[in-house]
Amino acid sequence: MPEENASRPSPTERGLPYWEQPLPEDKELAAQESEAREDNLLLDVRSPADINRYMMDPMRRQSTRFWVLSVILAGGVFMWLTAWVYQMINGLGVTGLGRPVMWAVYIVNFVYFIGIGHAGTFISAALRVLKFEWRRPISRAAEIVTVFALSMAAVYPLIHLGRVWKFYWLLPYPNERQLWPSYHSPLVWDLTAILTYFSCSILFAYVSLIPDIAMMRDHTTGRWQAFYRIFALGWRGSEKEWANHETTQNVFSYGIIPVMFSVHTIVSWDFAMALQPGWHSTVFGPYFVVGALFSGSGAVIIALILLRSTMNLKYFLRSEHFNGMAMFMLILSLTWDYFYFNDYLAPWFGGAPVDRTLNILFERGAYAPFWYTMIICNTLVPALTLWSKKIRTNLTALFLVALLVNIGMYLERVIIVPLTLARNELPFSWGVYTLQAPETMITIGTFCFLFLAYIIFTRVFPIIPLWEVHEGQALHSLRKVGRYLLHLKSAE
Amino acid sequence: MADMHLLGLFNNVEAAADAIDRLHKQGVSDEKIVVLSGSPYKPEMLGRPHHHGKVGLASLGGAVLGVLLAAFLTAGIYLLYPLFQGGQPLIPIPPSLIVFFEVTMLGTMWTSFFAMLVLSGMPAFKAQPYDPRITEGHIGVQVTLDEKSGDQVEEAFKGAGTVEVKRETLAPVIDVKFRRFWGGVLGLLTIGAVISLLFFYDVLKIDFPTNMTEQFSYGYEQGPRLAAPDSSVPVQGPALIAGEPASLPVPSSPDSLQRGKTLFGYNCAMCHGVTGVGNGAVGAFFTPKPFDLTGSTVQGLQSDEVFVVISQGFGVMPPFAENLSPEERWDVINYVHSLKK
Amino acid sequence: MALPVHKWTMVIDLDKCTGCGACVVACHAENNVPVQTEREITRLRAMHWIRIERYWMGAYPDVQARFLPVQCQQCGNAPCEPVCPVYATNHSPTENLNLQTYNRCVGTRYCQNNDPYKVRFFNFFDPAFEDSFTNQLNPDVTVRTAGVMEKCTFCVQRIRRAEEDALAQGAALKDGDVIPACVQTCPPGALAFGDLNDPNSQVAALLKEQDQRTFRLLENLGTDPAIYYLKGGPSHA
Repeated sequence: MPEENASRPSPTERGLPYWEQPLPEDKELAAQESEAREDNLLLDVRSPADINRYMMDPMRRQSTRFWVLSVILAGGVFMWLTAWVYQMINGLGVTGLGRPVMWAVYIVNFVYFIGIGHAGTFISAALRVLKFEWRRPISRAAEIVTVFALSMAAVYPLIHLGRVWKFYWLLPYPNERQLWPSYHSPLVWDLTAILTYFSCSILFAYVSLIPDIAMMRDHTTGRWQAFYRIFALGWRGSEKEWANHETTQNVFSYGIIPVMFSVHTIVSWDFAMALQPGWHSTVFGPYFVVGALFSGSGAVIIALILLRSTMNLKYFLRSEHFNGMAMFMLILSLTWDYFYFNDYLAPWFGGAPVDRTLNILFERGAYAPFWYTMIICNTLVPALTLWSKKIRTNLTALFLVALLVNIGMYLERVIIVPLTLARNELPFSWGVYTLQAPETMITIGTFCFLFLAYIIFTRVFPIIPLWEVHEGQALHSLRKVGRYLLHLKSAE
Repeated sequence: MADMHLLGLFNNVEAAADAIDRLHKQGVSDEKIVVLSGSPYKPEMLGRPHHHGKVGLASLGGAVLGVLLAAFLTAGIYLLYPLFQGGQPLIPIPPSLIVFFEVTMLGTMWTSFFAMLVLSGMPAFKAQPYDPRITEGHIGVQVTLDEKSGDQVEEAFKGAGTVEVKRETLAPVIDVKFRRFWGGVLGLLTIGAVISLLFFYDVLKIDFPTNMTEQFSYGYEQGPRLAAPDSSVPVQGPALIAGEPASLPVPSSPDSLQRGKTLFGYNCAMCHGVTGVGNGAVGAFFTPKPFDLTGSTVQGLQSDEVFVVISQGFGVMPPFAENLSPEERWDVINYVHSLKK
Repeated sequence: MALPVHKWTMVIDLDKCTGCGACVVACHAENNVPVQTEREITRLRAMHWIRIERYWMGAYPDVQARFLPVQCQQCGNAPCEPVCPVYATNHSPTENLNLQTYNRCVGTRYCQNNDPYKVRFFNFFDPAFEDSFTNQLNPDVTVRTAGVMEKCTFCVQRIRRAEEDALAQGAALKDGDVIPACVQTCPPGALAFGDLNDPNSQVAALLKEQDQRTFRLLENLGTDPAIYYLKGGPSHA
């Protein structure tokens, strides 16, 4: 038997479950342990039964507020579909498009939705690969933002097509027309990349969900249980299942990170491949990827803050998580600044007439309000606020910062798409884009769908990956080093 | 001696590891033991051998499949449909690389997902020994053995500190609903795939309207218009036929009348009657009845209006543009004029 | 890509162009291009396959007008082609023409974004031809529907007709057999059209003797347009 004073004896040596550890007898150490428990989810060990209940209770009872919100959001979705059908019947003339602004709000939304999807993948895949343990409770919430944001992003290329009913010509299927899509075109690269990213994100989210669906199966009855039983696929948690599960998760994690980078790069190439001044820039690839992660981190923070308050997930989502996400957002803000400055500097320095026209338009001309708002929201707001840990852990302040970041990044895409298209080499073909009602309705409606699908998901499946939290709590421990309790973080 | 499963539940890792140790000492081989847990534990923690799964290998195979599919899509398209675009070579390498990357990753990840399902036996159609407490942090140790060793193993479990031991005979209940559901899903997918293929190869055809087959314009073979617009100036005189020089009608000579009479007999009499009053044998079946060519209505028309009616048809009357040349039509018109009462 | 059999080229003499706009009207008539309402034009949807760009130069009282007829430049390295996902626009290697296949277009409008001359037009609505206008439509040219991109084709229907007539007669195409509608209509004869591969053609002769005045639009972009402009002198407003 090891000495009591040396390393703390493992509680399990006494035959106790890992969630029934006694506090150390020494008062000071006990105080340290309480504090560590408060700060760290993975040290605040409770029994899995309790933790499961913390997640399942808010899923079971829906407040009136939830139903009212659902009805409003469903109304938004209906508005979207109505506006879309109206546009399909009457033609794209009902929008504000014209020559030369042939792409506008729909493409902005497309890029925006794909953008916010990236942070989800980063958190669930990249942070997993890098073994950042604080990603455990937030990875599914982030991944589901990705899944539903991508579903909306996938709809926008259809919405902006002139002849939607012929969209399937973009797919290489066997046909007698003797024609397949052209792989010269960045739009077809887009299609391939988004298909890959979207399908693999769904599969990745599902793979991670299976053990939790098994848990839901074990704790429900009746029709709900039949539903969960079907999607649990008979999961028992055997070693074989876990081993294969982990290998699959590894393949997905390592695989989906390069896909994630490639997807937004390819989306940026929709612009970079064009000869349009302001678009034909080689830095667009990494610039867009960083922008995507940046706006996505803001979106995930918003989702987490809303989840924490509406579903009472204070046990799971603690300041360490928001601190981590906020630091991530700050780093991305600085990286975005770097890439944007790169993109801005070269045409500014070159001084070609059309580049200069665009610069003046944004700095002093009609579009200056958009440009300055974007700079303030993306550069100044994060840089001035997120240095402070107090702001990073204050959820109201963080919510505001994340919201401003999202507004700034949305404006960035507005500047890139409709506002830049208004100018080109031949001044006779300059134009002004005006937003029209169908575009507004469709934009709002798709956001409503995203929110609605998300809140329905949170009531059907656990939004916190409970098995990952259990695993983390079983494998994290405190080790006594002198008078200090050291948090051992290895999950290997 | 029937076989059965024994499931021992433990609420901590130590006890489970101890139980497995005792089983080993009893001579139970590792293949007969399955450990169930709500979160993954490393095999070393429980004294279990590593599970060497084939999911990784399958993913690699999936990657190869992806590469082949990408090669087919890119080179296939460029070689099958050689269309030039933008001064780029027929097989552009950089775009093809993009496609290769994406489709390879697609193949890898999808294959790993399905390999995981297949190699883990998911969906598990047979119900297997399980306890809901496993998703509450308990660890289950399942042993497959024959009846008489059962007590011995139960002793081992109790000695290690089990929470509960369950016994199940080896003939697990088949989860019928589960099997039906997933079987149905698979069936639907297969049927959907087959039907889609039939559509793609035009075995099943649906004539849905295409945009541009209906054109507002008039083709050359469709001749001059029948109804002039209200505000237009009526054209009197020579009938203008597209593609042919403006021609005067054939003058009304005895030869023309004779030819006209013959042609009238062949083409017109069956509906309009031999005398042209509209009492032809075939014409009796039509609604409305064929016009009386001798009456004032038809005789009052301009010659070129009659020409247009004969060429293009009128209501139930078919067009005769293919049957009669313009000169022959004028001959018929001359003859019809001669029928005037 | 093999060398084109016919290298269709247009030469526009800016000295002769008076900016009258007859070519615009002729193109509308020949190619069934709908006339847009005033409201649509204010919403940036004017649809003129060939348009006269008028630039004012100088300050009062010495103001000059420059007229630039701009239509699809039929680029050799057309930037609008490789971005079409469905091969609706591609290059004809035998004729050096940029082809547009209306019934294949799904309307992504990427070609217009990538076109530096902005000479491609999108049908935002179904084109409206009032009753008697349909009598004037050219049966050789499809009337496009909503959702389809269109642009100047160098009157490819006239090119085809001339080729078929030549084939029927067993003779080769001569210079002057093919005349696009704009060239045919231009009162001062500012537009010339022909096969640059034919050393005896009018366009070849024009380019050879007027090479001091020759330029192409936005040549630095490397699009290799098939339309050559001859610089004009001053034209006072």
